[in-house]
Amino acid sequence: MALAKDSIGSGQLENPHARVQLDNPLCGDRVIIDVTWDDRGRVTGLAHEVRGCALCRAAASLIGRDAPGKNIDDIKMAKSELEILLKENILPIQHHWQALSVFKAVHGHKSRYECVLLPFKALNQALDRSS
Amino acid sequence: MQMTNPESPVFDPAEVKKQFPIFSSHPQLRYMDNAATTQCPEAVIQAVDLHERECRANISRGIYSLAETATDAYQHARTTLAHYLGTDDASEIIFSSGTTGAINLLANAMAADLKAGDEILLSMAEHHSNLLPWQILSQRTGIQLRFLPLAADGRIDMKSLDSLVTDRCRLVAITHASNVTGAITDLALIIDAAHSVDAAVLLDGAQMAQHGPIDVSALGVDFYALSGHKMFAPTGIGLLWGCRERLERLKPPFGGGGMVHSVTIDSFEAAEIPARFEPGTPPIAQAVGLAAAANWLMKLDLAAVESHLKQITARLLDGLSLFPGVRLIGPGDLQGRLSLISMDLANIHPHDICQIVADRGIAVRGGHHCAEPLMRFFGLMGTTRASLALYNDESDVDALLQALEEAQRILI
Repeated sequence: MALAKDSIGSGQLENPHARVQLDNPLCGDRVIIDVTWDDRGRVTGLAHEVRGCALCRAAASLIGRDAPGKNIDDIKMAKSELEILLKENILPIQHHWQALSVFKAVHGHKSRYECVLLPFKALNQALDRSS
Repeated sequence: MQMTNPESPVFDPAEVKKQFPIFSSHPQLRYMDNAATTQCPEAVIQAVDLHERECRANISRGIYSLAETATDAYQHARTTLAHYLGTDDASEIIFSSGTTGAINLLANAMAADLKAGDEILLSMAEHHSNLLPWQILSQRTGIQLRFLPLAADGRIDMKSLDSLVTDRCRLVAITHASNVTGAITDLALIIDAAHSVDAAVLLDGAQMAQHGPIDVSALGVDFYALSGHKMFAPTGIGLLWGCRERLERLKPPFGGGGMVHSVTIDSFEAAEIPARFEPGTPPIAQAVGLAAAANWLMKLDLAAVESHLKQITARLLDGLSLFPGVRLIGPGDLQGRLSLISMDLANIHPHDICQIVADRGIAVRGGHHCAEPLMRFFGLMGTTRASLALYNDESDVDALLQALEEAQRILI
C-alpha cells in the first residue's frame, strides 16, 4: 500500500524516447509509461500515469523508483522473473530486481497477477524500442 | 431501515440455503455475486446428473428408446420453459447458450431483412451482450443504432422516446433490468412506442429471470432472452423466446444438422420453428437442468422471496448510506429495482475492495460489469456490486458492510 500511495515517478516526461499505453481489458486499468535511455543501454528517465488498482499503482511506483539507472536488458528480464514469483512464490535464483519480492503477497491471487504485470508489460514494450 | 411487513409471508433463507450444496462445500462462503451467476440447488444438480446417468443420447434422430427418452426430456424442458414464460406454444422457445447467444442469434437472423437506414433503438444502460451484437449488425448492414438516454439515477429517460422511435425503427432492444443499477425498466411507454411503428421489442431478461416466471404476453414484448446460469440452472444454456409470428418471418442464420426438412447440394428447406434455429446437437442435459430450475422457482412462494430480498436490500442500502464517500449507482430506493447494489466507495478501485472482501469469504463483483458505456455515463471505471439472492440473509449483509468498512480503512 505504501508503494501505491507514494506513486513514485508519477507524471510524464517531456521528450520520451518511447511512450507506451497499455490497458487491461478485464478491468479497464490503464498504464502509460514514458522512458528515456542512454547510449550505454541504461534507463535515464521514467514516468508513468496509472488509472488502476492499488497493485497496479504499486508496480508502477516500484518501476518509477528503481528503473532509472538500471540496465535495459536487466529490466526486460524483470517481467518474466515477476511472473515466476507470482506463480511459484519465489524469485529465480538469478534475478535482476530483488525489490520485486514485495509482490510475493500476491501469489495465489491469480485474478490479480495482471494488475501487477501491466506496468512491467508496458515498460518492456517501451524498452523494446531501444534496440 | 425498512422493516418487514408483519403481513408478509414468512420466508426462511436458511432453509433454502440448505438446498444448495455449494454452501456445504464452502460453509464460510457469503455469495453475493448472483447477478453474474447464481448457485445451483440440489434439485437442478440431480436432474442434470440423472439425465446424464440414465438418459444420455443425442436427440431427434435415434430410433432406440434411449434416444427417444432423451428427446422427450429435451422437448419437455422446452414445454416447462414455455410455461415459465407464460406461453402455451413451446415452439416459441429456442434454446441457446445463454442470453448472449440468444441475442446474437436474433441479430444474425434479422440481418437478412434489414437494410441501410433502418434503425435499432437501445439504451445507454445495456450490457455488452445487448450492444455488441447490434454494433456488429450495424457494421454489416448499415443500420443505425440509436440510444435512449439515462436519468441521473441510471433509469431510462423517456423524454426523448417519441423522437427516437421513428418509422425506420425495426427493433427496440432493451434491458428488462440493469445488471449495474438494478433498475427495472419501465416498459409500457417503450413497448407502445415501438409497436406504433411496427418495431419489435426484445427484452434482455438476464437479470430478471431469477426472480420468477416472466409473462411475455402480459409484458407485450416480441422477444425475450435469458440465461440459465443466472436463474439457478447450469451454465451453457439459455433461451430466446419469440412470438410465433415474428419467429416464422426470420430466416435461420446458422446451418447444421437437425434444422432442415430437406437438403440438396445447392440449397435446403429449413425446418419449422424452433428447430430451424437450433442447428447441431443442443445442450440437452443443460436444458433439462434449466427446466428443473424453472420448476424449482415456480414452487417457491415468490411473494415471500421478494419480501425477503427487499428487506435485505434495504438493510444494505441503509448500511451503505452511513459510509463516508459512498456513491450508490442506481436508484436510491426500493421501488422498481432488483436486489443488486452497485457502489463507488470513495474512489477506491473496485478490485482492491473486492480483494479485501474476498479475503473475508465474501464474493462480490468489481469492475465495469460488461457495461462500459454505462460506466462512462457515471464517470467511473467500475463499481463494486453486491447482488443478493434468496439464500442471502441479514448476516451476509452485515458481514459485507463490516468488510467494506475494513476495506475502506485499509485502502484510504
